[in-house]
Amino acid sequence: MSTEVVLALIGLALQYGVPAVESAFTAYGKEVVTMEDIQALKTLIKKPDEY
Amino acid sequence: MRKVRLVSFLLLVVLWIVACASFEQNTYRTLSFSAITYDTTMKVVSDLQKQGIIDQAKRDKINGVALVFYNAYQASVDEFIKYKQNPVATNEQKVTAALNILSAAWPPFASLVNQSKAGTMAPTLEQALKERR
Repeated sequence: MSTEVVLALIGLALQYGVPAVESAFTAYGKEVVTMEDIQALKTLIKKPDEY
Repeated sequence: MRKVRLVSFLLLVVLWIVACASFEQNTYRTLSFSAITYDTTMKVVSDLQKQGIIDQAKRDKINGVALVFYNAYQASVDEFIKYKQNPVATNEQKVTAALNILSAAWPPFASLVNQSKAGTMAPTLEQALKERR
């Protein structure tokens, strides 16, 4: 993992907290993408008017 | 301003990360980070509205283009699921086409958000990639 990526993840942690970093790490380190992983993408974001 | 820079930087990191991986890994990473970026951007928009920088009319416009992006994202995930169930070339092409639509949905979204706070989002994925080089 490069310094750039680590810095970006630290920045994420400082600004948005651990969940965002966990998501980034999960996506970055995923060697095998399962059907469950893909289906989980559906619920990662909300409709605009829910923010 | 820190959020704005972070969103832009995160997008650059995403583009760098997807540079070398399998089709499934690339697609998964692209969609994951698109989701994170969208989520972060919409939180910024919500903050700007609370600060009075964005009024309801502007928010409605942003929500309109954001919904296009949201729908393109969900359609991309649906195509990715179909590809995973049946990983043939035609399904891979459908995933790629869906991701192209997702990419096309980005500029109008970025443009509207940037009108309220310049530099919040890179105007296009391509430009973000060039800026990184």
